[in-house]
Amino acid sequence: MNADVTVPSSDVTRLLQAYAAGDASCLDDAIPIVYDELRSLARIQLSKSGLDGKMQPTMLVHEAYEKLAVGKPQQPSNRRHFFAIASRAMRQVVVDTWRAENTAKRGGGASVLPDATRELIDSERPEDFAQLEQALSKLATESAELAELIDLSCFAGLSNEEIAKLHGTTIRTVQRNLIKARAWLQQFLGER
Amino acid sequence: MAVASGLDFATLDALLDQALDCDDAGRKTLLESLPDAQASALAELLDASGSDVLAKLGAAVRSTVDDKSATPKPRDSTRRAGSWRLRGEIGHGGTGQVFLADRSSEDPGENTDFSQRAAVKVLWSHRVGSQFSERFFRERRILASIEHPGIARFLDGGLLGDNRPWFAMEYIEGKDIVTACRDRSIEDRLRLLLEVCQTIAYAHRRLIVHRDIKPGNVLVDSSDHARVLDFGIARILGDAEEPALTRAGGVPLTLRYASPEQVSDGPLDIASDVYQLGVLAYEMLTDNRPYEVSENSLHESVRTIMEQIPPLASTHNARIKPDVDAIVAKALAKDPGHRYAQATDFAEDIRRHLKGLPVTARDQTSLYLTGRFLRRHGLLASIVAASVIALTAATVYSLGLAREAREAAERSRATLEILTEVFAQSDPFGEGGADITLAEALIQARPTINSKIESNPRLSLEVNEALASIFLNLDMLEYEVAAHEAAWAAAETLGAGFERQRIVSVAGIGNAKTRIDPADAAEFLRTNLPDQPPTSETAVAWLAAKYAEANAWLRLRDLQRVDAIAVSMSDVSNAHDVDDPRTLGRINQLLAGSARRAGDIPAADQYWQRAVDFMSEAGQPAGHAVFLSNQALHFGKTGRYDESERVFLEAISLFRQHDPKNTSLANILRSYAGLQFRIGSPQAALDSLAEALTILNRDRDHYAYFGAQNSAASYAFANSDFDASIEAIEDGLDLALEMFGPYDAVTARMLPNLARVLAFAGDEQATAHVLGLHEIACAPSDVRRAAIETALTQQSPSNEGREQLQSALAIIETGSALDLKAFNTLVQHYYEADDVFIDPLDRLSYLEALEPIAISNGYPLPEDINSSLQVLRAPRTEVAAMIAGAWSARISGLLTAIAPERARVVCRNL
Repeated sequence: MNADVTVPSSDVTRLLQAYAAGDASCLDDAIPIVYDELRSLARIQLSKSGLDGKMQPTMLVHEAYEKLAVGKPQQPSNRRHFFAIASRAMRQVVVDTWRAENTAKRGGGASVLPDATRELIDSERPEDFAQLEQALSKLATESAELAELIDLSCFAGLSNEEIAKLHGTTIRTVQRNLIKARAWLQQFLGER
Repeated sequence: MAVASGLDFATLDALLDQALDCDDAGRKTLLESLPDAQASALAELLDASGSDVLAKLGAAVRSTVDDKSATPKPRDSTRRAGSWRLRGEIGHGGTGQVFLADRSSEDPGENTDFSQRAAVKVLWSHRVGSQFSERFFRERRILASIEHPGIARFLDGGLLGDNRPWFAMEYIEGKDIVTACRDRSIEDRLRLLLEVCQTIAYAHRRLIVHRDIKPGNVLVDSSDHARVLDFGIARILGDAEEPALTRAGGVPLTLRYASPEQVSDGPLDIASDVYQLGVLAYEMLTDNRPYEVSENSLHESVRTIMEQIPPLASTHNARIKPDVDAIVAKALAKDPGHRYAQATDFAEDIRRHLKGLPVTARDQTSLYLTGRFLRRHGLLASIVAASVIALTAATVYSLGLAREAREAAERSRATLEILTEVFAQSDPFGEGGADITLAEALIQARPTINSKIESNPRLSLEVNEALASIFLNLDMLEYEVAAHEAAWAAAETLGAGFERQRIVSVAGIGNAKTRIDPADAAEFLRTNLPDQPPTSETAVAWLAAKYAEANAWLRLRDLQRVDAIAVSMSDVSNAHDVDDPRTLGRINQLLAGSARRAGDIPAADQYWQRAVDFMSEAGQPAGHAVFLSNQALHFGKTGRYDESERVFLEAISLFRQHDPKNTSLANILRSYAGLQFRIGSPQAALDSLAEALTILNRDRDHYAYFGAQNSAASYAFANSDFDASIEAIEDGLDLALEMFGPYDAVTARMLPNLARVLAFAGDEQATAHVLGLHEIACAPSDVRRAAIETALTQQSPSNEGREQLQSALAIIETGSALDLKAFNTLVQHYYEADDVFIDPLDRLSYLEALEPIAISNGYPLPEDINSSLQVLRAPRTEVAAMIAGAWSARISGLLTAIAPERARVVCRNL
């Protein structure tokens, strides 16, 4: 991605619309923009750190939406697509951060890996995040729906209720699918 | 994973679904029924489904995002701030890190008289520019000048090499004030609160506001005094300059403790501090937050802070007195103008309370103001009337009844007290006292009212009956139904001796429901009313309820049932010797209708005359006039226009005399206009309607207003006054869409007129469109087809989506059988075609089209579709309300963009 190029937000709307109309390649175009936005929002948010030091991924994603997708009245489907994209971008942000941490660790720099991440690594033993990524992409090839659910729930931090609303389904359906997603992800992590 | 022998993803996933649907036993059976390889793969999956991998992943993500590593941390090289040497981190939060520091001896600087130990706070932010230091140096002397035992002294501050600001202040050891309050008495807590208020008041007198009062910034020190930290973001009052320090500098706003002004960019002054003191007080006293501020959505948080009225402090701690409730509530008023004007006033009220003196907060929400408020809305009168009746009963009847009467009076008083109290809490009285409507106050107060009366059915009955009659007057039908239902439940609990109240409640529910959904009302009354009144005492109430049922059937045009009810009411009133003139008037009214329908005009005339005479005897001019107008309509329907006009004029003059502002007068005028139009004077008809419209309140009398505009549109059209016609349509349709949405019978009535005008104007497309809307609005059975058509014409689905919709339409129209594959395509389309189904009703229609196909072919509908169907079907009015906004915009757009202009041009050319 090119950091010098700032894409105006109307382009995101256009990309979203194109994506909604079935042009899947727009997804790939939109992700870097959203990715950049998320990163910069994260930086701003951390420096402001408005909510008592708590920085939630959900908030980042919502804010990114507000920022990128404002303008014309939004189609509900745009919102849904946006969150699909944003949660994947979020995954990338997180995985990149982890990877950087990992490199730093291997390179002998001080480890600033957050505790919970360390715990995940310790207990699940994915030597690096490649394994987690692999498991997630494998799931995505088998069931894009379940993979998206993991992105929305874990990476974008949306509540089951929010996801249900976004997808026009019930909370129960979301819960059920999360159980399934959990089963498969765990399964794929275990296989290797 | 093997892709053979049923071990592929799809097969296993389906099995997993199946297994998750079963209980343990079912799961076991399922596993046993599978081939070994499949069974073990499934068992493994089921095992894995219990893993906490997602929870861990989520936590890892959050901590990654939350990780402070993204901002620079003080490295070893920056272990100094000005002349202070940072010794170790003693805490960190949203704003930054706090270090214990001491002054290095080699760099005494100018402030050697300051204490040698300090807490140094280094802010996370490094986004401050030169403005910051300029401003900072201008203000730090002022900050340093605040000297008060309750304030941790500001010592020093500046910028680190990497531009992060730091502040040094007096180091205080202690607990945060909310924690420190936990094992203290309410009185002790109030003492500490008083100290804090006095401290803040001191700073205010020096024209310094704090802006970030929260538990973390108020400590209780070892000598048990409250100390306020962090006057670092204060700014000097009256400085008009953009507060760079607090905005651009990114010094944090702690959302949980933010005042409404803070989140709405209002002026931050003393009032904002008073609010934050209120939040602090609330937490100190209750150990609970006044409201939960969402960490996930800024929008939501802002709304919460701006709008959510916290429950009384005493709901968390019963030892908190009403005075204290009032004090805290006053500090927490959303409108700064309703809070304490000064922190010192806040302090004064706490002091007065501690001394047992009356507090000013109570004054504002006192019985006096409440009484004024209730009186303004006529509520007090009705409650007082109830007490007076109870007392009169005590004197009229023998002493044996005195106890009962006293109890009744007691209950009236309790009712009054409860309502007074809840209104006081909802603080409907500002300076002007007119900001909040009775409706809003009631809605706010409902949960409190219910919690206060739920344990006492007698009181609950009384209060809910009172509420129901208030809601009736306010035209808040859903709330009215709820209040009647609560009264009904209470009467049910009270058992024998409360049969009459039960019937009254049922009738009330029925009457309200008739206005929401007559079919629902009719069915409700039919199933919940006994065939006969249980006793003679309940006969009048029963007859009133039956009359309500007859009205509901009448709305539904089920005249056979109406006739049957008229006969049974007549029989019951004879059997029980009912002599209530109003009831007898109503029975005769119903009998008159039956007779006219049976073609027996002389009998109908007679019944009408009796009905009108009884109503006149009942001594209610309004009821009398309404009956007269009905009699006039009867004459009109039977072709006796002169008679009709005479009686109409009698009804109108009766109303003008007694109640010239009554909505019913407007309705009568409208009926009269109908007659005038029929006998050939459209202009006179329009004049009557104009008078009706001046009586009606557009925001309140929706149905009547709408009806009058609809008539006006028709008559003006017939009178060739097209401008007036369009104007009336626009106004009426706007209102109808606003209130009822497009899928409502009321809306449906206005649309044909619009279509007529459009057709007249030669706009075929717009005419067809409006007629389509009309079809949707008036024919529920055809809704699905029409809605799919609408989806086709209104939206721009992809070509594929369009084809699928068209095939769906064809299937619905031909009712042809469908193979499972085609059915699944349709189901799939539902998931994919979000674009098409923006309107819930479109969505519902599509699903309702799918459902019968699924049922008749025995295909399963996915679980989420089933539940979506339930949700969407729920209250139709709600769905209509949901979509009303969107449609309103579309229709008004249509009207303003196409119809009036073209219509006007065409009309003028004619």
